[in-house]
Amino acid sequence: MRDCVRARVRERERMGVVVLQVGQGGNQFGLSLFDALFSLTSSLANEFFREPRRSADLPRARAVLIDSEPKVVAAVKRRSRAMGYWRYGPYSSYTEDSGSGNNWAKGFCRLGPSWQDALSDLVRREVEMCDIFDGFITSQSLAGGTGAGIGSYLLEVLKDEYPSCNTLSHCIWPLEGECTVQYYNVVLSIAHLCDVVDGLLLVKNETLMSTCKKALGIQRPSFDDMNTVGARALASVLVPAYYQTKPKLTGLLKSSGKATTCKVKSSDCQSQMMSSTQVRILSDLVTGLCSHPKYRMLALRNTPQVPTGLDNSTTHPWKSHLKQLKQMLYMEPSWAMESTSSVHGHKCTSDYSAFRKIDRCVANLLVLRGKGSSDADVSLLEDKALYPVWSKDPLMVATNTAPLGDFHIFASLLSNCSSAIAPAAHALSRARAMHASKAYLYQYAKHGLSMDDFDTSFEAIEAVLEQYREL
Amino acid sequence: MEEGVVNQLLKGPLSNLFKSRQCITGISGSGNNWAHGHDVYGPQYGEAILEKIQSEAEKCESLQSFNILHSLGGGTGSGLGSYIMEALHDNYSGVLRISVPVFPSKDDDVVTSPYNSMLAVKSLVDHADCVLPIENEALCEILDKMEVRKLRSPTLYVPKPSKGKKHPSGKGFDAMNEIVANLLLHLTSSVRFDGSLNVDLNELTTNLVPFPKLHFLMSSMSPALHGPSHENAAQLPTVNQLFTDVILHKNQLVKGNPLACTYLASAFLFRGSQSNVSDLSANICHLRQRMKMVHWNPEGFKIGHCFRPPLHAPQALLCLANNTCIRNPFKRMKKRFEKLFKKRVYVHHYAEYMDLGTFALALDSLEDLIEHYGEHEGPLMLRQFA
Repeated sequence: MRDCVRARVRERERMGVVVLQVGQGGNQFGLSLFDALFSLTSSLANEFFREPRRSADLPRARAVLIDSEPKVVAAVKRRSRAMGYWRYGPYSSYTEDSGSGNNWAKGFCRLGPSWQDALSDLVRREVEMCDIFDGFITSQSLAGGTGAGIGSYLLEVLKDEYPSCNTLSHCIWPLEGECTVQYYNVVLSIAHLCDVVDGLLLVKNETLMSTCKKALGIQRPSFDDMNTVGARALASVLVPAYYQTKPKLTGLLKSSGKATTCKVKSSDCQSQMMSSTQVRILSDLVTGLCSHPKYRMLALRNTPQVPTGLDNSTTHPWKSHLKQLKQMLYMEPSWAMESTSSVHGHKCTSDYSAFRKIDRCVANLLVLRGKGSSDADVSLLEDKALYPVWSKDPLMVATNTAPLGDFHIFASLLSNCSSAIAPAAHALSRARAMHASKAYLYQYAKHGLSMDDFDTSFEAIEAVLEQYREL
Repeated sequence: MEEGVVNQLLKGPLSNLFKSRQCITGISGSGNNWAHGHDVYGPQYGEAILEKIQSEAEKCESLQSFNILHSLGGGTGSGLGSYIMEALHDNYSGVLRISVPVFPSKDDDVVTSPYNSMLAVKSLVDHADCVLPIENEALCEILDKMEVRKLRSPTLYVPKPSKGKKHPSGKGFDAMNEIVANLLLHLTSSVRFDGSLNVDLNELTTNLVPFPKLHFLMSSMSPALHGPSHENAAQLPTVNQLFTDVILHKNQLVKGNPLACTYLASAFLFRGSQSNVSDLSANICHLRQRMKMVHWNPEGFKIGHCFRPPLHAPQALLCLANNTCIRNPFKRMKKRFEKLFKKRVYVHHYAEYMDLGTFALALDSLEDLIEHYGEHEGPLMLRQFA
């Protein structure tokens, strides 16, 4: 292996991303995420895991686990031990017994500040174990008090303590009826997170449930099933993949699995490495996907959902997957139709076609994995109709010829797009209706959140929605 | 405030669970007089009671709530109970106060129960965070239905007839109390065991109490009771059946029909590992069609899932609903109070210990409560589904 390549591999191994799992939903999803990351990467020491102190021990997840009651974190740690491939660090969690009562204000205004020192120390300890710290990924649900409230507070604190690092927030959007005050918590969270994180990836439980039922044939999916699907989707943009710049340097460069082999003279090595750079999801968020401060909302789509065999009879295996990804940009129906009833089999009588429209994108990161990925024709997603005129180089393409676990072929599309408009508008209207009737406001006022604070958050969400509507 | 019941407890089969030093008893009782309990025994025993509460509270790493179990018809549970509720509010304001009071029934043998319950309800309105009322009549009807079902399925569990005191209906209090005990076990199951959607007690109050005084919840369970029975698997209710049954008026622990009134919010707490979130979510979606939700929150549901089932059943469901039909027991209470108070019958017993203006304040409070619940009653629901 040439020195320049060795240097790149070493740098990759020393980069670290710290995952913050906050609340019940966040911790349960985090477990599935690390499981997916571990099974899909071959390197033991990488961005998401670190070498244990003793070589005989299992690799440790670069994670901090936070919850306001102890049972979930204990269960998640127990399950990781039982699986036997990796573990959470023994001192990587913080829990108390109080619970946050599904109250965003209790999490943000009370518990967050009182735990701030302890959480900062915990996070700092994990960050210091990265030779090169890339940034944070948070895993949190928006419905309750801990993931939503404490999570939002923590991210504000970390923005101050680590001003140059990048953050991707993976937010679980609740099912209808999970929690009576969920729309308050969702709206307050998004309003605050938009100011402090670089990218806000919203994933709906309803979508994960629908995928389990329709694509995977799981008639009665559990949270574990849904988290497995969601974790694989997120892992598919986090595990190594490489940008191919234009013009393609085919013949001179072959990308395979982990390392890139240089077949050029050493004087040209530097430029070759630059033209085949690994995706750095957190830095790329700022420079690529979410470079505009007013556009931070992300959505993740991927195909297929079930591993398919290598189909040698098809000359263009990638064409159908890319077509499906593009169709997904069209097929997301507006919130008015997409209710839990459609997931659970009630007939929807509303007219789908009147509301079908494309999710306009500010930018897209397309990650293709599998044989022939570097040669796939991506022109379907270069369609100018997808993007506003001011968006320069809106499509970033990264590939890796290695398969993704059992998937010989896998395509993921991480989009900065308007998918979030419909659910956010729905949440906002529900929150406004409760606010107008003053329902539950005394619960939030008890912990220091006034009606005006709600109004400020409503306006912030309205501003975000307006930006995306103008796309 | 008399020794008999507590002594029985300390000598009974569960005596090792109770420390005698944590017991406070009087001798002569409260004479079925709220004012005696509140204004005499309250100040007299208040300090000792708070001391004993403190010694228990100090042993808790993280105190979640106080659960007050009392009847509202008599003098001690109702009067001294009100005093303790107020003291807890003053001394432990950050800790939840959850009351499980027995509302007196129409055939209550305590003649002053209309006064006692009215006065106690004011204290519950002002000082409790959450109240789960129970009516003995409702419990009796549930037990009646279980006995009827047993005729068809002899292997079905019904509680054994107790030797102790019986309700005027002939049902043993032990059997009725078993239902209430089941309620409390189910309510706290998520605090004690793992689940995919844990629900702490403070989450219940956040989700189910949209306005501070409207904190009276209808509770219902399906099944209401489970004991060792020999029903085969085919006879056991499915998760869908549990959801369908739990909102019916016959399963409510307070007499009323929530489906005929408006839901401000409801929580469905499921126990068992045979079903998961998609089953619960699908059932909520079906139930929504039948429930009249308040206009400002048509998605006012809270789901809980605890993996550990109850002792003798593979799965069970508890529904806590903040529903405007809770006005009905309050209206009944008000009617009985006014009938007695009109003629000032027995009022002199109360005048001995308290200012009679307290009755007027209590009546105002109850009327306000009924009116506030009434404001959220929606129009008649147009039924689109059978």
